[in-house]
Amino acid sequence: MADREWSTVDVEDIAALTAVYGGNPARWPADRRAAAVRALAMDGAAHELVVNEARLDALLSMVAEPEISAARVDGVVAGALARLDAVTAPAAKAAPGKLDTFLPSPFDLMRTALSWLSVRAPQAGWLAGATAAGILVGVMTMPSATLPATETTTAQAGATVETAQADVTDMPSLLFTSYTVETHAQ
Amino acid sequence: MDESVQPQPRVGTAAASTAAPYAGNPAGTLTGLGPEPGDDALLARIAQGDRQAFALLAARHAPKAMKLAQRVLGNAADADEVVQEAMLRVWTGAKNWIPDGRARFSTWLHRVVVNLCVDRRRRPAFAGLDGIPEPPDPTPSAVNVMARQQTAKLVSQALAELPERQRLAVTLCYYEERSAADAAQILSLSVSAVESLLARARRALRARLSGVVQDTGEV
Repeated sequence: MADREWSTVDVEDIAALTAVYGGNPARWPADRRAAAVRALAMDGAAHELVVNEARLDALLSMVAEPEISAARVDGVVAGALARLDAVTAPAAKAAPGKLDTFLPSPFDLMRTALSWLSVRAPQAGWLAGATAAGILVGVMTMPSATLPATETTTAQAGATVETAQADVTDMPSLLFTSYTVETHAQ
Repeated sequence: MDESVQPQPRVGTAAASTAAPYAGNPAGTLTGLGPEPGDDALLARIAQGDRQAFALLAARHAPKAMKLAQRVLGNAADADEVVQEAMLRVWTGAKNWIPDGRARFSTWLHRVVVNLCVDRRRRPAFAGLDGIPEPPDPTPSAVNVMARQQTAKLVSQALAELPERQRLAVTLCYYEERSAADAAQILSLSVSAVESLLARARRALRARLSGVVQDTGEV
């Protein structure tokens, strides 16, 4: 409706205009209002269209306008002011330039996945959570898996790669202890 | 329907920590600004952590934002929460505001409010006190008032049954008296798309209210 000159309008234009904006010329777009009002004065059919749409406008205007008291506005503004510190706090924690600011931790990933599941399929979310908890408990209570204190492998170029993990004797330690690799050239 | 200005949290500044707390409507006098500072000037101050500027801007725009939110949500308490949340986004997103004269702050704020309202409507509804109809006035002189209330209720119901975007278009263009261009910006749509939504909404409303037409002769 917007891509044309509106120097003159006909009944069809008025019908399209009122079908969108209703029967009150004050609501019509400024670029076509003057020409449309001129057409109304001369065309009885166009006038009838406007009257019909104005009736629907009258019904719509019967819906009460929400009352916004000064006390409510004060409450909203005061509430927002009271929460400013809370929304500012995360910025202080996230120092720019640090890699861990941008990389989510495994716990973040799990939490995100669980929340995603719980929103889209609550039962699936609970099931996934229970499964994850079960795996974690199983791993933590697994009988000690004794690993050789020192494992030696002969490298191709005559170097010896030695893994120094004498303290690692069970699966939880293996999962949560940093793993050190030392290389000794012969 | 994400708003264009993504909120970026900022670290509190000295100005933020020394700003006076909000107590009622702010007087509108800020150091270095005139008695009626514009939205852009206030946003620049907010970007530096000025709480007084924030209180002034929030108090200036909250009433219209609350009215819009209440029309969309049909609930005063939810509307207040949504507007408060939108104001917090103003605080965190102020530094991204570019005062180039083309975008109006109120349009951006209403866009945020509409998006938050849409998000909130998608949550499971809580049947609060606002949903309980007013008890009818038993006095005979109130018959006309009751008939009018009944009609208004039917119209509200017809509006509530419209598809979301049609309802938003009607709310913005009819009740908030926004232009189609403004509504298009708020809804992230083209003007012709908004006009199409309005036309469909009016057609649907006319069909739903056809019973009211015969009873009251209004339509």
